[in-house]
Amino acid sequence: MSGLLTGLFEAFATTLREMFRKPVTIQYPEEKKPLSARARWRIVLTRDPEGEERCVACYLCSAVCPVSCISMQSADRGDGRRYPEWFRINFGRCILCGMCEEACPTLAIQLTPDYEFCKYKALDMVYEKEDLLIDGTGKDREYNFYKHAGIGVVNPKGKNPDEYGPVDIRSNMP
Amino acid sequence: MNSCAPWLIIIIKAFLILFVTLTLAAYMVLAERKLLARMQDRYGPNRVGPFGLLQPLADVIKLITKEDILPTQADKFIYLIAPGVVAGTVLLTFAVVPFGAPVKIDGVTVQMPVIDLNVGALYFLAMSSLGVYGVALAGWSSGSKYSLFGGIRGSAQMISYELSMGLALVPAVMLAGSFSLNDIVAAQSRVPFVVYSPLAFAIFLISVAAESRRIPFDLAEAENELVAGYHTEYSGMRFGLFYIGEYVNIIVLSALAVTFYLGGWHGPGPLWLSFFWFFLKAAVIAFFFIWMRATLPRLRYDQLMHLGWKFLVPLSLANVLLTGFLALMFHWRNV
Amino acid sequence: MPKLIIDGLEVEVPEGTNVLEAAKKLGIVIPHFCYHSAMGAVGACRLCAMKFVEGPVKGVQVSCMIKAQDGMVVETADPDAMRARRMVIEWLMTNHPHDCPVCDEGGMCLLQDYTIAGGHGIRRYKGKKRTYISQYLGEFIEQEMNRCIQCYRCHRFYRDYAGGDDFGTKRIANRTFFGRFKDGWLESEFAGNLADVCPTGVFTDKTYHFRARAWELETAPSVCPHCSLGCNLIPGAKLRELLVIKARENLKVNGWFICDRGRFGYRFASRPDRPRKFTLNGQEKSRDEATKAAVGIISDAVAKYGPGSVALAGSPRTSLENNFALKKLASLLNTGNICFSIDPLRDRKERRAISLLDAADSRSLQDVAFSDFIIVVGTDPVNEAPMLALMMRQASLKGARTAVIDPRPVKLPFDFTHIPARPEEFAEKLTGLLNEAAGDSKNPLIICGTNIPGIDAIDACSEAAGRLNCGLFYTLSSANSFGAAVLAGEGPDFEDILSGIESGGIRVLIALESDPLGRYSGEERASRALKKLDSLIVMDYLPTETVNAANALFPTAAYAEMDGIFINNEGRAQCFSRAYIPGIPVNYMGPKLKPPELHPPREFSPEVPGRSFPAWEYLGDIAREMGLDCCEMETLSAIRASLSHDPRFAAIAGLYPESEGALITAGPVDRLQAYGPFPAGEKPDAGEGLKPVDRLLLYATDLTFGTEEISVYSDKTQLRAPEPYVMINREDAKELGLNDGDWVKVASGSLGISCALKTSASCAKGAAFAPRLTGFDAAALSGKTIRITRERV
Ligand code: SF4
Ligand code: SF4
Ligand code: SF4
Ligand code: SF4
Ligand code: FES
Repeated sequence: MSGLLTGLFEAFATTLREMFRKPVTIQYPEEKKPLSARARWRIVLTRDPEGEERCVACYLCSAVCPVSCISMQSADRGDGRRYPEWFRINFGRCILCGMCEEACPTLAIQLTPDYEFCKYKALDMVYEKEDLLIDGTGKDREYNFYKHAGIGVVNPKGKNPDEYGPVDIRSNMP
Repeated sequence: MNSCAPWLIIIIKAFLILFVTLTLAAYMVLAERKLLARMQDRYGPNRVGPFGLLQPLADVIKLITKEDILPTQADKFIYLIAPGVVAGTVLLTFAVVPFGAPVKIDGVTVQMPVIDLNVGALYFLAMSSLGVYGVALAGWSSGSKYSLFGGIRGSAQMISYELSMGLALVPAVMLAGSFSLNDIVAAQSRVPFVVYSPLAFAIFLISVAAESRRIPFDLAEAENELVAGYHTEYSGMRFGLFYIGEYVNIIVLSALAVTFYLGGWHGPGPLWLSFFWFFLKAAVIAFFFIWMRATLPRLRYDQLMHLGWKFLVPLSLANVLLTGFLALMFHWRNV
Repeated sequence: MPKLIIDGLEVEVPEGTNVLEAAKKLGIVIPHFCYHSAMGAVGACRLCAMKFVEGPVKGVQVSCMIKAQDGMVVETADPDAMRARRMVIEWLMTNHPHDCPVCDEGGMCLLQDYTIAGGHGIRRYKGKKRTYISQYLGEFIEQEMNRCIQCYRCHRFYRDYAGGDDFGTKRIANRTFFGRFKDGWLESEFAGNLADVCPTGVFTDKTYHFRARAWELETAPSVCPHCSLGCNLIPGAKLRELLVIKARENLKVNGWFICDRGRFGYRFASRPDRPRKFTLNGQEKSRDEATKAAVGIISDAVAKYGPGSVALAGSPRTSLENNFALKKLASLLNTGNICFSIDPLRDRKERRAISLLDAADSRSLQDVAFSDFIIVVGTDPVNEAPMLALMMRQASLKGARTAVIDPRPVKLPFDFTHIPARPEEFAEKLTGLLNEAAGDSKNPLIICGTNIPGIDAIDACSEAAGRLNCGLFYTLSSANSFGAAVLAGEGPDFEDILSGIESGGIRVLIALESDPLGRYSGEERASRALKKLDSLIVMDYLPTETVNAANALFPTAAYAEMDGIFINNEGRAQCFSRAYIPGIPVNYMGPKLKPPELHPPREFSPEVPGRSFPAWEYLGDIAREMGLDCCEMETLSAIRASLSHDPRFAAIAGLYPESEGALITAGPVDRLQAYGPFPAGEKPDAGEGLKPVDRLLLYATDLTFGTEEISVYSDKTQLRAPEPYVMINREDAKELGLNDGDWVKVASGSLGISCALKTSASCAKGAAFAPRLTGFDAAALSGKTIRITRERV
């Protein structure tokens, strides 16, 4: 019983005390918090060093996205390159968790430090590929997925740095 | 002036009270948000007008312009009137509260309650029982399981706590020897009843908090279990009525706590200061309610029922006996 | 029956079962690549290692290569075994490319799964990887050889199971290659199964290339609509577009595989020109308006000319429920003019055939694989019922002998005897064969077609089967031919309805997923007759000629878009379920329809644009709107309940998706006009004074690709449809002075078609064959005597 009473008293005392503290709130539009260097907000699609779209429409980001806000349609560009015909992120739903960036095998999808992109209309929060694709490489300047994949898009088959030349199937010489 | 007929005075008083209480309720909301915020190291609303003072206005405009949704599953008529019942009963309670010393206008003594009922205390109990209907009906008629749960919880809780609340009033009534609130206030002209029966006051405060369904007794709403309990389905101004009802309720209940145990409008200084004293005392009680909200977590349902039935009711019964006994022994007042 | 202990659990398995299967029986699945129930074990991948603790073998062994024996004690999760598996998978991955994001197998890849299961996450091998140049294998199958793990499943399926000989293994050891000698289409009609059997992304479905990931597909257990065998499959759709078909296991029907018509014929469902709108005389209407209009049309005709003025044509390619609802509507309207096929001759023959089947002699597709003597009468399995050929090959691998009595030069993926005979000679040849060979076989089977054989041959097969106690297997025309024929019973056929229309008695025709204008053999007659109608009400999902001529059009749901039942040639009723809601595919709505747009529309609504519904719903609407008692066609379950009150259909009451199906027996059908091989009244003229070669009999035939009613609307299978041709015996050709490859005119009376000539030595003399290709009206000449003359060399 006495425990209950002191507990109650302490609780009331705490709230009363806090009332006279200076609030910790940062008054957003006037005051702004300094962002950390790796702050992750608005998402972009980057290009590889050669200037081609990095995204290969593998659907891993859309699969991993906990709120399912990424959708796309993959297609063949005609030269064997897999790319997204359209790519859509509904930022109205995105919780900026960064899972997509982590899942992306090509480093295409990246979160940037721009967080001020509120809109009045929900539909304006739906970004299409045209809005997402930027002209740079983003965080990694070197990586080009096709230089490591075996499907021979950037370099012909067997000409990537980590590959032997193609097997001659008409000979049995070792 | 003879033309000043009693009924006219009543109407004027009623309108004045309505206006003042509703405005107060609106600012009560603001006060609560600000105080809660400060207790949580925030600023609270500070964007609309200086210091956010126009926030209530903005809220009202928002509520009025919002769509009034009528769920297809709802029992239409009851669903529509339930918020009115809640807000109405609370407002009606004000009719018997003497919020200042009687004033002489043009030779006529005007009592401050709108009407001075000789069973004012019972009237208050009756009104607060009626308030249960608002909650129960809103919950039942919404056609939603959350609302239904909220309604059931609300009515069970209010019925339980009404008992201890009523019993906590008995000492005051015994000490004053009357059910009229005017008489009860008059009886406290020198010593407020809280001195005679502090326990009754404490029980009354707790029960009143439960009656108003506020944290820590907000099981009927319990956002994290029941969405918003009995008013889950309400929107727009109907939701606003519940909201206003809640805050008017705090004001009324604070006023009644003051009336029954804190000496009503009595206080040092000239008689016209009585309004100020009444307001101050009530504000302190209201602040206590807000403070409580910032401090205590919600009770579990069984804890709530235990507290009511196993603790408060027996305690208040014992207190009635004790106060009666002491009053007889020491010839307090007219007992 | 050996008993062994696996992970502490005792299990008894049939003699010869390997330990991997035995563990599977206990629900313990150990990663494995090369073992496949259909193709057996070869121990190529080394992944299925288990630790053998007690018994005849000891130590870590690959379990698929060890037969279960008494006294064995096996641990699957033993640390040694786990280590072995982890090392095997790591070693299989050394050469594997960094491809998953651009690999169509990703998401349903056994290699991905087992790499994770094996605990191999980080690559330690830093050396270079082996690469191959992949081959072009046609438009069905995509090859990406870098991903191969040398499990040999493809080789074993293609060469051993399916009997193909244009694909196989090249080179040895680390450089083994699986492919053709040179680039080109895979010739086997079962090549599509490579996509299913290959556990990695080497062989993938090219029609699905880069379209979706497995986890995005909406799927449901379904049944193939492309022939009468009813193979089980799984359609996969995304954003309302049907994208891929996979085989589904049913050990009573298709086993594990399906043919390429079933796999690649799906593309009819998302054709841009598929009917998606309710129309009335070409004007778009709402569903309600269309129903009201149809009701108006029907009621007018009934009021003016009586109920007999309305005729209804069902279809063997639509579900049993749709056809039943049509029949119900006919009986509510009180009209007897209802048929369920627009090919009267085939219809009669099929009704006859199914009435002869009974539980004692009917055989399932799987039973075919266990026959030891197969006589095929007048059917060309690969072309008329492709999976039948695959099952016959399994029988043949077990030592069965096969004889084919058929006038065409039939091709099968195994050795068999071909007896070129004309349909008149079928019965006689059959008797001859049976007399000489039936004695020493235990499981003889007679397979009989319903296209070329006449009713006499159909009867003869049944009679012989009954006499000699052998199995009987008819191939029919469509997925639900059996069901349609049972419903048709002794009712009229399309011939009767057509004469009704011609005589003016019938004023309104309701065509349910049938295409009399495009598919009636003798299109001219049909189109002349249908012009006489007051109104033509059409319900269909294919952009057929009849749909284009419709007065009132109701777009219907295709098989993957609704729940329903097909009854296959054996009488096996099988459920299929809805995989997705039909409507205009999302990907067709933006860029494809409005080219400057780069993405699908951004508006959204709860309505599915261009939504279509199963036909039975429309028929129910019409009945309700007419104020008829439609409670038996209101819901699918009501239709099924009402169907199962018919004792013949009682078995469907217990039917559920993914079951093995329920057997239906049609029971005898009495009123059968004695059709010969040709439509009544069109007996081949004796041709007095003409040489035999100047009065060849023409038969319209079916092909695997290019003739089946639904798959002809699939762009991909159409790629394998041949150019039109007519085929005759080489000697006949010589007599006519014609050579293989000549451009000829094939004429009968006023009708004539031009095409290339093919000659074959194994073609019966006196007969000619032309495939029913679209835009090539071979069917009109079917059953007629023709003259072939050269147009140019
Ligand atoms: S940040 Fe998270 S929520 Fe947003 S798109 Fe990426 S995975 Fe989805
Ligand atoms: S994970 Fe990366 S490559 Fe794959 S679809 Fe998303 S953005 Fe494109
Ligand atoms: S075969 Fe499997 S593991 Fe290999 S690239 Fe394709 S999905 Fe990845
Ligand atoms: S191509 Fe596929 S099926 Fe054939 S050996 Fe390689 S991995 Fe196995
Ligand atoms: S499954 Fe046993 S070795 Fe491949």
